[in-house]
Amino acid sequence: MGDANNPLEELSELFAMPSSNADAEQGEELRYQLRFGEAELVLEDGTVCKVSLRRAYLGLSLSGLTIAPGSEYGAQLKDNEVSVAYAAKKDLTSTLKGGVSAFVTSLFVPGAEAGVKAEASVTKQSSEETAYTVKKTRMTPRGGQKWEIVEPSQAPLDGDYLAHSVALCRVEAIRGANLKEVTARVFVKQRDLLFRYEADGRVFSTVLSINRQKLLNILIAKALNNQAPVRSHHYTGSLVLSETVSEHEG
Amino acid sequence: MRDRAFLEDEIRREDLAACSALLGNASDNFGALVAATGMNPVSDFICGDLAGCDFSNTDIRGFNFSGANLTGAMLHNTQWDETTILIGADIGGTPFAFDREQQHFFADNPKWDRMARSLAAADWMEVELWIGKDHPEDQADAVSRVAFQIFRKTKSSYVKSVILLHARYQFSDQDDYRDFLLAELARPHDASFAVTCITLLGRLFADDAQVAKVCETVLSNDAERVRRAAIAALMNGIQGAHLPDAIRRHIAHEPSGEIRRYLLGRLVRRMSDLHKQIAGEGLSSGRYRDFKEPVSDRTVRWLAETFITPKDAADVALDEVESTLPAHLKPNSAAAAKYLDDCRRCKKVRLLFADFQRIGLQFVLPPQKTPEPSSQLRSPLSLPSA
Repeated sequence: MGDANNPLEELSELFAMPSSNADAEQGEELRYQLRFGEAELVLEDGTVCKVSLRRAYLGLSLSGLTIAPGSEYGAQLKDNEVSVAYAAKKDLTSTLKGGVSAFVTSLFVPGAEAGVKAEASVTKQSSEETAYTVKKTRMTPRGGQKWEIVEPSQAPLDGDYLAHSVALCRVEAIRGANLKEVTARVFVKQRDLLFRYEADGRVFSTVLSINRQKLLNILIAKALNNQAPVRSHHYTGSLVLSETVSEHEG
Repeated sequence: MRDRAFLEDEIRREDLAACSALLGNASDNFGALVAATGMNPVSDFICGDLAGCDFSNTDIRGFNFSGANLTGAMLHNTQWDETTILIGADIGGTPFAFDREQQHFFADNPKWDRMARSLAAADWMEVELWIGKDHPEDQADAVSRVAFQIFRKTKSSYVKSVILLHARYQFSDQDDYRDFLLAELARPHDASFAVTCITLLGRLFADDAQVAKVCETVLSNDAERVRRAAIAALMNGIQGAHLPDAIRRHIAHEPSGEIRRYLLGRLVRRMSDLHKQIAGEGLSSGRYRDFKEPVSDRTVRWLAETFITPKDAADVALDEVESTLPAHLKPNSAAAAKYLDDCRRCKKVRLLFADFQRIGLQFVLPPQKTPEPSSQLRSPLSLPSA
């Protein structure tokens, strides 16, 4: 169990769990408990601000260790063969129009007129559509030793996303390294925070103008950032919500 | 696990105070709110959610919006330039997107970039000759982009006007062109450019509400010269029921006495019947006595509502009389003085002033004896004595 720092624990909680496998061949598994929820903040005028996350990132900073390739949780190897779905609609329309007009004048019957007109139309339509499903993951490994955490439905993050039963990845020791340490951080961009305001029990997001609402969101994000585990973290649009440092034998 | 009851117990008081300052601020202007809360434009908007924000009438030069969500942002009369950082920002559907496209185009096409730079520094004739050339069809897009770039970079209002005239062919939808003109009109330009905008707009208005909108835009311009020129263009180029109303409403707030009188004069001229009565040909010496028809109550009421002060009314009347001085009369001459005196004696004008007095405007007619020509020219009407 490493040192955990979760000043905004209602919003995000991260703990390093003891590893169950320290095989020199396969590397050591990193296990964490990661939980998200909604935080409530009461402003000076009594306005209640409820903050939640739409998307967060879990990043690892490794010293003396490296992630075993292909061991990342949530990694999905895409099929090499791809079935392309067509929604094709073929229209075949051919119209035959023909007009024959005969004008018969009989010397014998002055003013007699006969007209013949022919018109034909042929129309053919066909269409085919294919439906298919795509698997989505809540935690998706990204480059730079990061995992993106997002609900496929774009709902706020809520509940446990990592637990002891799940290995985030396996790490292998770098030959000759003395210090073997993993720092895991949960961070979020301001644009991925969700805000809801209530005063006297009523939601007034509709009452606040867009400008006011968006700037208030940024001010609250800044206020939360000032509680960040990394105290020196100057606000530049992202917040570190949780941090845990664990040492490893490797 | 820490020992605290609520999240706000840990939030710094100054941070919460900034939130309260924002909620309590009366203005909704983006720039004003940022200033009131002490936010840092260089760092606080990075990766921020600013979707749908209204940046109208705000100077966002030097703001860093890297990675921010700016979709649907409104940029009416917003000032931004290359110091506004938009790296990685979501700017779909905003004028920022067009600017970025332009940057990419000129970065990829140095030949056109050189052309745009050179023409941005050229005079209006050179631009006119270039833009009016028979460009090959496959260069139409590049020509439009260069023209827009010149429009943005040039300091000459004449060059801008030239491009604006040609721009009407670039818009497939005239409503879009009108909106473009309105947006340009709201930017700080000089008078001649405003006049071009209004003249072009005059052909595009669909209803009086749009006329009222352009009046509002023009009349709120801080520059006196622009206001005056724009108002003149409005009066000349745009017909609409809302125009006199909008100008009449504006007169009470117009800070410049010169413009106020000018407006009144223009409004008076617009009323052709009054024009005939006060300054028409029938007013020439010897014929004014023929006037018998009284000024209608409606006209008098309208004038009473329009003329804010008796002095304004007097000045307008003077301007009208002076402006219609017959060509054969030299200003300040004895003949001119006699003519002006005739005007004052004009039965019709007297009737009009009597009507003014009847509805409460206090005018004192000048004495009947002929004063010195110089003073006569200055005050055919005088203010009531205290």
